Amino acid sequence: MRYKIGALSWDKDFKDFFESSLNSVDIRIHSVFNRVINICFKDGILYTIGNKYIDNAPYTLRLDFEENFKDIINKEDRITIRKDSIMIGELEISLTDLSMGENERKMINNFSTSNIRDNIEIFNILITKFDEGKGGGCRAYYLQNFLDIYVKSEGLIEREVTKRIQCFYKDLKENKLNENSIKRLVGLGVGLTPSGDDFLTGFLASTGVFDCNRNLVNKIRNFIYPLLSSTTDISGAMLKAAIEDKYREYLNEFVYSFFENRKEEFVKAFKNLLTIGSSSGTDMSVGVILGFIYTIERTEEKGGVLYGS
Amino acid sequence: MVAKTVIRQDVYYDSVALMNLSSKVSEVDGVEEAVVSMGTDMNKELLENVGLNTKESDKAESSDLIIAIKASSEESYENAYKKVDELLNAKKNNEGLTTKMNPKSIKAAIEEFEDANMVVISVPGEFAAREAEKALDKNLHVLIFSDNVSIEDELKLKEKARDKGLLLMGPECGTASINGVGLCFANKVRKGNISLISASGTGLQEVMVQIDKLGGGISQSIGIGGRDLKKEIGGIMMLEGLKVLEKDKASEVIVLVSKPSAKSVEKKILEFVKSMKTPVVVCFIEGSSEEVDKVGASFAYNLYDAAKKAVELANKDIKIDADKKDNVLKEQIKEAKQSLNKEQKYVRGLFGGGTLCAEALATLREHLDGMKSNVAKLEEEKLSDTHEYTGNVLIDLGEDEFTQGRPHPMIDPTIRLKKIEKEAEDKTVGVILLDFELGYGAHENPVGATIPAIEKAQKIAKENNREIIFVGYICGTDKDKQDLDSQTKMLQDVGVIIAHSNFEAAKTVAEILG
Repeated sequence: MRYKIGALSWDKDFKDFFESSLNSVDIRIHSVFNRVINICFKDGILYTIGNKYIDNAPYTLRLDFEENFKDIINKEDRITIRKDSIMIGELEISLTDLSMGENERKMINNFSTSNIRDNIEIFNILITKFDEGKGGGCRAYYLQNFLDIYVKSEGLIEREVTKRIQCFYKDLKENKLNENSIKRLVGLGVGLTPSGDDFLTGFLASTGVFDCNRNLVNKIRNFIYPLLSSTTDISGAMLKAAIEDKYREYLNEFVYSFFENRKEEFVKAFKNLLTIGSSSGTDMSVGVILGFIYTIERTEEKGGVLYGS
Repeated sequence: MVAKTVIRQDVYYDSVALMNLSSKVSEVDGVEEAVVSMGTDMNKELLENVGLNTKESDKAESSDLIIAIKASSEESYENAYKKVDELLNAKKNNEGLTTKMNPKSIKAAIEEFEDANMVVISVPGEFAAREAEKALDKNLHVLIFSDNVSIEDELKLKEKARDKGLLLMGPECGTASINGVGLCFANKVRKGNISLISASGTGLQEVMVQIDKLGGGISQSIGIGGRDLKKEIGGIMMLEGLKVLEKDKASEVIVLVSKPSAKSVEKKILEFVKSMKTPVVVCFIEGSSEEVDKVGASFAYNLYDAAKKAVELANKDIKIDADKKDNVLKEQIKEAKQSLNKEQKYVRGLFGGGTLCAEALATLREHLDGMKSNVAKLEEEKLSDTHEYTGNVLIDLGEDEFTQGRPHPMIDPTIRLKKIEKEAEDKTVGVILLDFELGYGAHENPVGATIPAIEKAQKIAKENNREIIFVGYICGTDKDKQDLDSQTKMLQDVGVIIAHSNFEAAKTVAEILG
């Protein structure tokens, strides 16, 4: 049975890939999940095709499609790029009339620490409430170190994630962040996007919006770049996008919701973020929050004045 | 000590699944450490640090799954590896569920599942009583999902169950959640210290959902079928259920929910409630507070109120501000009022949930004139023809006349789609009220299936120079498989006003049209 479906949106990178790949035979399926198909081009870059339940993201095409890909796509299915469509096995994707799903990142030069602090308070309530034990070690770190809540020890790797984030944050606060602080986190975690990678992505997403963090962010990006192949392909693609300052829609929305005094919007953005992966959203949220805590503490140390770009 | 690793190439599992797996394997006797993770450099380095690496794991790629187990003996290792295999295969089959069995009779089912102590019966009504009796004879608790069981059979079965100390839930029991397992239509909710017993399917679902939303959790949810509090049955299972819950230490607060029932039975139930030590919240739809107050229970004015009171009783630290105004909703109501013309005076509620329809009726009759419904108990409110009508009308599309020969609208919403379009053609209709149920058993995408009909209705109204307002409520939690957020977003995207509870949905309609 052939499925003819339309597309909802794509980002610039996916559009460029599509336009440069007409009739290419160098594209293959990397992996198939319920909501996502990852495809791989000859340059090694991963592109994602998602159903309508995923958010806009870097290197991603979103389809007007509600079903699970796993039910209709096999990893061995052939991919053909045509003038206005992509064929994947039994799926024919029409690429006319779709919008750009760009996630604009604006730099923040002037901000109120009180809004951020208020939202951190809300976050503190939310992070203690949802499913017990969810999170690849980042949540446990945050609960133990910022909220004095002891969480039952998880597995070996999760315990290690907790420890290493502790070291990362200590190095950061003491201005001793080095290559090793980052290397110890990249690829650490059990799943498809290891928790260490999710955490770093979240941390870059929040610190990266402040002009005053420019040097720090560039430093971390430079440390991550040579490590991209040390993690899973999917996570490497996520970190590569983060180095390019490209993030998923839900992660961006969560970051910018900290600057507003709108509780409902904040809670909604947090809940949306949690829909990413199984524990990725949680791990990212801890990265985001640490980025904010670090930034506002530094700002307040300087008398609340923005400094040093 | 035995330390071995197994590599599975090019396989992907999400992190929560892998963490759960590691934790379950670690619980196997003799297992000292178990790690199941992707083969990234850092994970491999960590395995090396703790002495769990092998030549095979050192060679693993980042797209490979490493299963590393350290056990006290070869036998323990084998048991642990067997467990990994079992869990990974179960996950592959269907999100952690084990292989489906398909027994053809109660006898075969019992042979297949020796430890089972409950049977769910969903066969045509004329055979349901016979099967239920067989199950009771085998000392099994029973849930009858089937309808069309005679009231005489129901009485006979319930008396038998009571005499044997068993529960008989149903007939037409749409919802239950026993020891965290959802049966029939049930939402996925947080575990906790509140238990429910209900003679109303969607009423039970709504209270469970609202408890979860308010931060509370559920211990047990027992559905007893809509007729249990009728005079003929006398509340047999309500009383038995209350006795069971009273003994259950995990049930620190009990919520009792029922559609309108026989006064004599209500009295009997309340007399029992008076003797109970566990705090009880009573929500009799259309009931009055006076009798409930007398027995020292908390009276709930609606399903949301029942959830709120239960959560407050169960968690002294939680204080809920029920009067808090949602500014977005207020603004939407204001805009909706302004967009209607003078002729558009009426609401049409098209429900999948019978109790949600009954609750909306009880709420709206205080604000709107001439309410009619096919679930009404008052003579003057009864809707004689569910196809041709005028005025303010609420219809439960789950009633027998709509479900004979076709699935319940919570499973297949098709029946409602045509109705939505039809209502839009009526120039006197201002608001269409819809409910959507998520959870086990319900349609995979109830909102998505309804959106085309909503858009068509909006188009019909527009072509006739009108606006039609949709008010919707999604009875579901953020843990339900249908993804509450995406269901909500789909409704928001087509301009549907979304309420946080069924009660709020009805109040919203009242404010728009009142």
